[in-house]
Amino acid sequence: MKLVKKTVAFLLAAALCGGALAGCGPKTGDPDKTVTICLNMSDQNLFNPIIAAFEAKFADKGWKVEPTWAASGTVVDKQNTLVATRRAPSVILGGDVHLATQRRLLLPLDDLIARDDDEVQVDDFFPEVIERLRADGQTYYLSDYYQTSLLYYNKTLFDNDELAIKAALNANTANPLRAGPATTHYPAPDWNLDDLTNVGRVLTKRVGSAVTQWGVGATYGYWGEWLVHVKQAGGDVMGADGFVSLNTPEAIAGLTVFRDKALGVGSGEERWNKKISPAPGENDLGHFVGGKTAIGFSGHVGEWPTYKAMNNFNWDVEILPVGLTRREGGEFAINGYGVYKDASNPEAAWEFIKMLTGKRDSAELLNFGYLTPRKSGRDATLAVPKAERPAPQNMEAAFDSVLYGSTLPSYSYFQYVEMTIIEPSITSMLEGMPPAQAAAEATDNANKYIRTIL
Amino acid sequence: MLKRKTKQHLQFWAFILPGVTGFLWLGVYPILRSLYLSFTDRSLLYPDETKWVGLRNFSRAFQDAIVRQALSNSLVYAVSTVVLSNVIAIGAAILLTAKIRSVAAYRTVFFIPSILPAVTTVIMFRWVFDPNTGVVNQFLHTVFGIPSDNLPKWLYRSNTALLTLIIMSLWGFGGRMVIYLAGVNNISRTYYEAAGLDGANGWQQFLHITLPQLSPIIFYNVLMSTVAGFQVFTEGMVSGAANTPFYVVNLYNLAYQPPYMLGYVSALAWILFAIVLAVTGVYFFLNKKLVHYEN
Repeated sequence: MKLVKKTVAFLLAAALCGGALAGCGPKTGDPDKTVTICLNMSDQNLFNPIIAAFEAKFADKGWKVEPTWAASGTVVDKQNTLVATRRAPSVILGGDVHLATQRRLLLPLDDLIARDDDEVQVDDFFPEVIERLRADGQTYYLSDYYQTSLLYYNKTLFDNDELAIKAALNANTANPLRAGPATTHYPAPDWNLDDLTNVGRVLTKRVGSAVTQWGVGATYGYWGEWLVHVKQAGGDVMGADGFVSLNTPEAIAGLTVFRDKALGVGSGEERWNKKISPAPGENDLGHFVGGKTAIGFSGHVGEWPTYKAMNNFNWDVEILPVGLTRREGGEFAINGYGVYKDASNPEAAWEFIKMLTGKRDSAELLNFGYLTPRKSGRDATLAVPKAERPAPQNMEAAFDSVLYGSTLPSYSYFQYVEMTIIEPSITSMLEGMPPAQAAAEATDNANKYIRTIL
Repeated sequence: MLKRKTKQHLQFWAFILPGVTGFLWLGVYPILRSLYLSFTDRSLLYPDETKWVGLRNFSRAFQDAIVRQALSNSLVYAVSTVVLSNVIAIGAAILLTAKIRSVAAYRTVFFIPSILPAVTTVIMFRWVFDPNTGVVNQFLHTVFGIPSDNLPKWLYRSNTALLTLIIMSLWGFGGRMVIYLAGVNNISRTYYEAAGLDGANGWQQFLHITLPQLSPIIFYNVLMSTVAGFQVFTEGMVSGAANTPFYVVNLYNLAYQPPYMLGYVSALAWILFAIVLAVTGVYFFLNKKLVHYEN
């Protein structure tokens, strides 16, 4: 009996220790033959065929891909953790937004690109994409997709008010982009900010004190929308010196546009009637996807799969209207892959990056909410007649928007400063603080902070 | 053969080794490591470029306005939740000692929320306090006739966000209530009988018997809830409350957003430790004066 007890105790202890030890450390194969990378779990159907194709192509060398799948929105966090614990993946996921922080982790790719240009075909990428993946004259990433700001619109809601919309557009005779009467009631490249506001008012419906349909949706909590208005007004969140520059007249004018959409203009009932967007905490009727918002400003290409999956959701896109002074200012964010500087087998990592960023079926990418950064992909997409395309049909706008997009400031502290210091002032502005005061407060607080870290 | 005493020693070490190893590896080492990092400029992404910076991280923390604001929010939250949750927990514990039917069911119902994951609770309360569709505003509108435009925006406004988070925290008072319940049940009935004979009413009995007898437990609960209040994280991270940064949320953001300043964050963590230690010291000082121990 004593022996049985001892044996059981030993087996239990061995099982516990074995289990604990088995959980320690990553289960990696031969580092010289393994490409490691962190990827979005929800994109497994997109990446698994590429991984299989890579492993088949390099079966003679025994190269394998070992992806670490992470939940959407946590992929870079996961990657950072691996880098911090000296287990960096051989392929680093990044892009223009991450260039400032990741640059010293990456190998410059120019020599490899030049060597393998028959396969890479770097001229096939939009030049705007390649340009934004470079720093100090070196290219650090290649891209497989990008995100861009667009005007989203619900065609059904526009059709319901066709005459009123045309009347509002035609009343805006000061719009220099439009010579003569409006040819369509849908958003068009000849729209300016006044058109957006006027049509937004037509499409905002009220029953008593309740709004039953919003003209223009709104995005709060980060820079996604207000920064577009600031840039379109000729301002910017940060200057070339790395300090916040929201207190310029141009930036304040842009913030005022953003504020007025949500809070209205004037006072009392007039103000209420001129609102075209829900303020924070106000009923947004499910935002654009809820079907009761006529226009989504800026938006995110990543949401296309959701829109596509909805029955009877009749929608399309257009390039952003010209803002207070210009059209440029929408977001242009590029996803990219680079080779980790201390990768055991950088050649294998590079080969995998070539496959990730090679010529792909652009329609398949679109199903995952990604826009191809390659001209060949664009041409293939646009070769399909507009009427035969699934929504969004106006893919020309999706590709043209690249010309008007701008990237975020390339300072490593931008995200923290924006989310932690600037955003509270934006919130205060939406609670009633005058835009100039909010801009001054944000600029002052942010620059005080930046001085402590520079 | 090994001597009996040697064998006992070996068995002792064999049994405690896994626990001690885990404690040293996962507890002591990270604490000492973070102390070291607090004197460096360690970044998450560039561990090999770490440099010793002395007390610079600490001096910078005292000039950081965000740190001050976050500490202020955490302090208000901690004080409010300590007071309110303990008052409610004591009240509930006393009510649940009454001889009523299904008292065990009530105890269970009150206790369950305290074992729910914090993330679940916060998400649930985001719905409860939703300005448009939440049950709280529906109630205020329907019962008190407050017009829709004047209903509070709760988490969406700077002036109500912290209050909403404090209200949300009270939901989990059940854990403390169970401890108070055990304390109340341990108080000898003879005290109450004697006080009753002397003509003391219920309030007087509560003030002069229940509270003093419960004071060691109050001390424990207040201490633990103060520490938890300063460390509040999930509520701030998940709720999306307007303009209400908490100390530990700011600490997380500094660590996991570019430029990933682990050194500075370690210094902030040690500053929080020092604050909590100082508050605990005050509690122990007051403990000698205010807490009643039978023996």
